[in-house]
Amino acid sequence: MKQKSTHFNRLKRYEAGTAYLFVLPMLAGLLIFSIIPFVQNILYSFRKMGTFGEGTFVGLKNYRDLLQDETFWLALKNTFFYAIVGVPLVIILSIFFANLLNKNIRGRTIYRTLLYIPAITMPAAISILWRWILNYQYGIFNYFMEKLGLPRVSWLGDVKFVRWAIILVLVWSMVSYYTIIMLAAMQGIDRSYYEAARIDGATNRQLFFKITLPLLGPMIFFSMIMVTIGILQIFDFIYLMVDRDTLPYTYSMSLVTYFYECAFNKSSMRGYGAAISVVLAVIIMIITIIQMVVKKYWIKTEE
Amino acid sequence: MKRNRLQGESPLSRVLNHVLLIFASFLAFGPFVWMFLTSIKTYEETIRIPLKFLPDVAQWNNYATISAKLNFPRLYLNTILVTIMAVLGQLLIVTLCAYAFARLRFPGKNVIFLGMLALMMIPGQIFTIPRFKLMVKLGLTNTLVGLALPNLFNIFGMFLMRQFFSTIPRELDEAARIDGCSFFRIYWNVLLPLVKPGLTTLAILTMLSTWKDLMWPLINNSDASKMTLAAGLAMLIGEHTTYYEQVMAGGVIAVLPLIVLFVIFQKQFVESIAHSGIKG
Amino acid sequence: MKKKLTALILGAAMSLSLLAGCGGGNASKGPAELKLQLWDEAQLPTIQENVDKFNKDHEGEIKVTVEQIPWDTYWTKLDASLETDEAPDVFWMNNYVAKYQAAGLLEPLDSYIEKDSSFDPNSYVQGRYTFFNLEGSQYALPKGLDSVVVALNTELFSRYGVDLPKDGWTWDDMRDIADQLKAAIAAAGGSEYPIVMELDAQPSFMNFLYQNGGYYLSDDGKTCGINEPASKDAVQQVVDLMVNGQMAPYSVLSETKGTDLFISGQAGIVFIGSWKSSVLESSSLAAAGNIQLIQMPSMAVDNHCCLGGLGYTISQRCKNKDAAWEFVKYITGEEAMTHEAEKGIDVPANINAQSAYVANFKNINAQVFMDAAATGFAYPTNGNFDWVSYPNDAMQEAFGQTKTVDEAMESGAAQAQKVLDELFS
Repeated sequence: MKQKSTHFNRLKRYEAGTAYLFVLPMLAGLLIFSIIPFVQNILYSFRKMGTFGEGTFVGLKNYRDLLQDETFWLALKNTFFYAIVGVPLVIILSIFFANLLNKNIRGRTIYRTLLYIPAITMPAAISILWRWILNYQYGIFNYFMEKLGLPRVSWLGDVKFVRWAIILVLVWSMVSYYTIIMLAAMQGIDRSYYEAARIDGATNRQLFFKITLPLLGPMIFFSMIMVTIGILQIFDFIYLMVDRDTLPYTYSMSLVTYFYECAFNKSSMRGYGAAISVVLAVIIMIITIIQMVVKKYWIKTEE
Repeated sequence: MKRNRLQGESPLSRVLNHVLLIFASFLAFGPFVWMFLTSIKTYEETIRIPLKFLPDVAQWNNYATISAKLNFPRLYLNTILVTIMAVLGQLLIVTLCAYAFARLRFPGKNVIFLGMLALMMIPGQIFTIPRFKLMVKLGLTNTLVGLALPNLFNIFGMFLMRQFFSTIPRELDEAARIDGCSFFRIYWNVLLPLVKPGLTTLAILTMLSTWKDLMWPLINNSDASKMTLAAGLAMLIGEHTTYYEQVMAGGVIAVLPLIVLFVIFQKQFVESIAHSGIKG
Repeated sequence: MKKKLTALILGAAMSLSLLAGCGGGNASKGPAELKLQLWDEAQLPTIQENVDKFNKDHEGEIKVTVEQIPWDTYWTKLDASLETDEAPDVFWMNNYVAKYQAAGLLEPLDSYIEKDSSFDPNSYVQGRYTFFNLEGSQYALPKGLDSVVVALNTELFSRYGVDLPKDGWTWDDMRDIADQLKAAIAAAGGSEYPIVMELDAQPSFMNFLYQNGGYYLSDDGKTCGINEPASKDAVQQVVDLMVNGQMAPYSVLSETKGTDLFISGQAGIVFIGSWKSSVLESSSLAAAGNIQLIQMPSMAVDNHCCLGGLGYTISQRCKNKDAAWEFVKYITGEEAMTHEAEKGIDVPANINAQSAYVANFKNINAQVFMDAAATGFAYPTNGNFDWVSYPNDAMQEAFGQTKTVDEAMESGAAQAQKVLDELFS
């Protein structure tokens, strides 16, 4: 009896030992590339630090400066603008297109291929392409605007329009990606639901609102979180589409763009940049937690 | 009437669907057509008012001009090398860890698991400055290894692979255990071949993120010969924005191979992206 | 157990860095190796030719390799590399020189100058040579100089029947010409702009502030003067040009650079720096003989231009400093700079090479750049760059008309002054 239990213990210890060995490379990597940097970054945010050296400790100065920094508030405002306008557009449009592509329609393979291509294209290429399309003088977008009797607009040069131009390109590329995800979720819905409903005489509209949408609920919710987090971290399109050192760049700046400029392009603002990244992380964590809580509450009330 | 409803659509709504989809396809793919058309125009044709859709004579030499400015074969090679390093590294590190979480029992498992979940929710920018300083210390700035290294420890990939492992019946492991297989052999010989779709997904998602990433290559690497495609394209802006026909030619060179690859392996791509929308 | 874990983690970290394959120093006895770092892609081929010539002349002794890093990331990369063995031995330097000198990252050149009888400081334009002299020591040799002039699209002027301006013109003349052009363009239903400019400091407001009697930075480097009445007036005059349709609006200029608008035939007048000379020369507009260069128009004081330019510095970390000196002397010397001048890539700061520069241009009269340089003033800098984003942002706010000139200049100057005061307290 006693012998059996030690044998059992040895087995257990062997299993645990192996497990530790297997998770070790991952944990070591995370320690070196994520956990230690995480702590360091927080420490940096309390320092005045340039592009060389470790700088000097300045306490909460960086955070106090942030509160009075117009550009920071503008970046914060822009970031929320992108999220508030962008998230509903991406979610609604991707459900809309996924629903269209889910129909038994001739040529849907071709439609799918064409609609999916923006999703697999790198933002750098998308940016140079749209920069050309939106060009004030020679861009094809303004050409179509004029054909429709609308005035020409300097999308990327006018501080009033530049954020909408960013939203346009952002939504364009993200809708494609989330259409793929939504369509996959729709295809995962059991067909028998639809068949049963059809026998009961439900219309297409009813099928969509009474079956597809409710069953898609968890996926929509999850996508909302992912899209929100993604948009709050927007960088590429702004960095590549708007000329830096000009007003439109400042007026379209997101938190991450401002972080990048401070941390890597200004000679003595690396500590300040670290503080911006901490603020961004806190915002994203709060929003994620709110969404999780809402989800829990929502599921409870549904039950 | 009844038959129509069973089939789903009235003729009118079917036409409407086609109209909507054609319009959507135009919006999604039209810009790429425009990119191509611009890339074979002369400079004068690109700035002509009123706008001209087609060039008089296709100017293929734009491709030669832009290739002389940007070494595309090198950029491709770099991007592919970084992708391979990231994929192989993850294959070793991430799946091994995922296996332990899916199958083995060990004290502290839940704590570590939750810790990783929390770490995954932290946005990447918070690590960027210290990672860059670390790369400077290790002498890995301006190297391809420096681009792949921070991406090896992909927590999302770990959760994804754990999911795949847990779909495989445990009886297989137990049978192998009885035959005296070590845990590593079970992992390597029994389970890994069974999660091939998972590995494909992990590889494709890693590839997409490596191809798309801009900020880290921009920070870590400076030499044009050590850039990935995305960062290389970024260099086109600013320096050459005057000559959009050349910039667009560069864009075509950068996106065309991936589009072709996508058309061929559409099923795998789509499944992988769909998996990125599955909760960990 | 804890120790074991630490050891394991360390081991993992070490194997990672092994995996990374740090190149390691190769202490072979070959030629002294030097790495040159620069940012301008357009100049790279010519400089590479000069470097090749140098390498050939010093075969077996010195071998120089060139690395080009785009401007956007040049300084970030330089800062990161100066702390490592990746550091370049010789690199391009501009107004930032004081920052790197203060950080002790640059090698003073005085001892090499003293030892070297073949070196003559007087062969350089003195304004550029002394620019790199800080606290009594020389830290760089000047490569070229940047001056600013005005380019005219003569075809556009004649098509719209407007007379070309002549040297000695004023801003009043310019406004008058712009009005004529504007009216003629409107009458013909054209889409061109009378005047365009780049929005960066050097080819635009940095000149106007001083030409109007204002200043950007006081001579002692302690006061930002963009809120001086004369400065504000200069900025207001630019804004008025935009408001009155004499200059392309800000939204257009911030999207497409002034030079690009000009060479694509979209503008009659452009303020342009000499660093754009080869862009002008190679444009189809110039090839058709339609570009004429003249001096800038005068504001309240004069029409003198702000002079920039870069030089070659040697890193403190360089392991072959004597070889580096040989190289820097060569690359800024008569032979190399004559070659650069012949290719028309930079206005030489080396006087002996200047004639070769002008002779090289067939489609534009490059002598105008030289004449502008003769009366130019040095780019105002105090080596610190923490404050410069404020006046520069203020200019963009004023030009973009998101703030009045008064508001923008006052708040920009106040913010800049706060940093400057901290710096000199």
